[in-house]
Amino acid sequence: MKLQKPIKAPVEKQKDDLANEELIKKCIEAGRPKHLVDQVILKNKNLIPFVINNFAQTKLLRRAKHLRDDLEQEGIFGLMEAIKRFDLSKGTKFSTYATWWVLQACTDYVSKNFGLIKLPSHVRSSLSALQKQNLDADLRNAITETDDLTKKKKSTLLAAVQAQKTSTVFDIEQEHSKVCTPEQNFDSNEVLNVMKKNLESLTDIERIIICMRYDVDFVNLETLTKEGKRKI
Amino acid sequence: METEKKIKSSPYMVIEDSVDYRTIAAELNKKYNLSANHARIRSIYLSGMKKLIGSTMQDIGLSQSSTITDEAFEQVMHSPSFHELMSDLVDYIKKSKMESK
Repeated sequence: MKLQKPIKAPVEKQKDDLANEELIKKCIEAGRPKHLVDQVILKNKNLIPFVINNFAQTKLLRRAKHLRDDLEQEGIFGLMEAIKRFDLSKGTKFSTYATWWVLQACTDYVSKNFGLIKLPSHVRSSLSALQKQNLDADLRNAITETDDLTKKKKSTLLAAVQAQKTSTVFDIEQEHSKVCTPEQNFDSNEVLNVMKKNLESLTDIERIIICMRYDVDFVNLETLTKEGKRKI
Repeated sequence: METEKKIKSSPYMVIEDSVDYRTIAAELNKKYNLSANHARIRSIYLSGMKKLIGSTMQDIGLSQSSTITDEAFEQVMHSPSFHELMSDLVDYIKKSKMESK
């Protein structure tokens, strides 16, 4: 026996939409009080998984697909921003407007947190705009050929492109995941041992600052307190 | 004839979970009463790294002397894999110290 598909009631859906639009109207007219904003967020919460599912095929979101909870949280921030900026006089539906804010918040979160080299948002946006304009051409050539940008901006963009080449955490993970031959493994261990030996040959203050730079606060600083003042 | 100024271009480089120079300076000042500002900390860090990279390159056999050029130093400092290696090294030292205690 075949199971029948549940039939959706279009009337109920329309009612729900209307209620949503009315709620937003009420919220904006009342000056966006907290309890009404909360209600709007709860009502439109389902928009976030919809955006994540539909736009997960894009390059950026595919990277963080496994961190769904984090993306959903960021999506709520995007929703809050949409409520803050929504304009009733434009005549659009709230869900249409909020979709882009949710997507923006998610992509911003991914690009901020999933790269070893962090780029400012204006550099990221101008790079992506250039990439969209010149899909086939090399990005470096595209930057040098455009007349809209100033020299300073061009140089920062070129530097960013150069830095981004092998900068993502995923590239490094992929490199690590490749099978190493015993020789390669030996080499990396040897480099580590040599570096450890050379690190000990540095002065106290240099060694301590290098260790602190990499978020380690374990060094015994007794020698530094005795001689540090003189050395600095 | 107009002369064009050369613009120094250096890529942005921010290490994940790293501590900035101002925090290091503040911490050293607070805990150990060492007077050094962020610029001094940066110069000490860079000089230390230069020595470390130079001597390591010499030991491995990549260069004949322990001094390296500014260009080579900049290239090494801008490679993310090098910073990964450094964080691995510092972690390794930390673990070995903890075990010895």
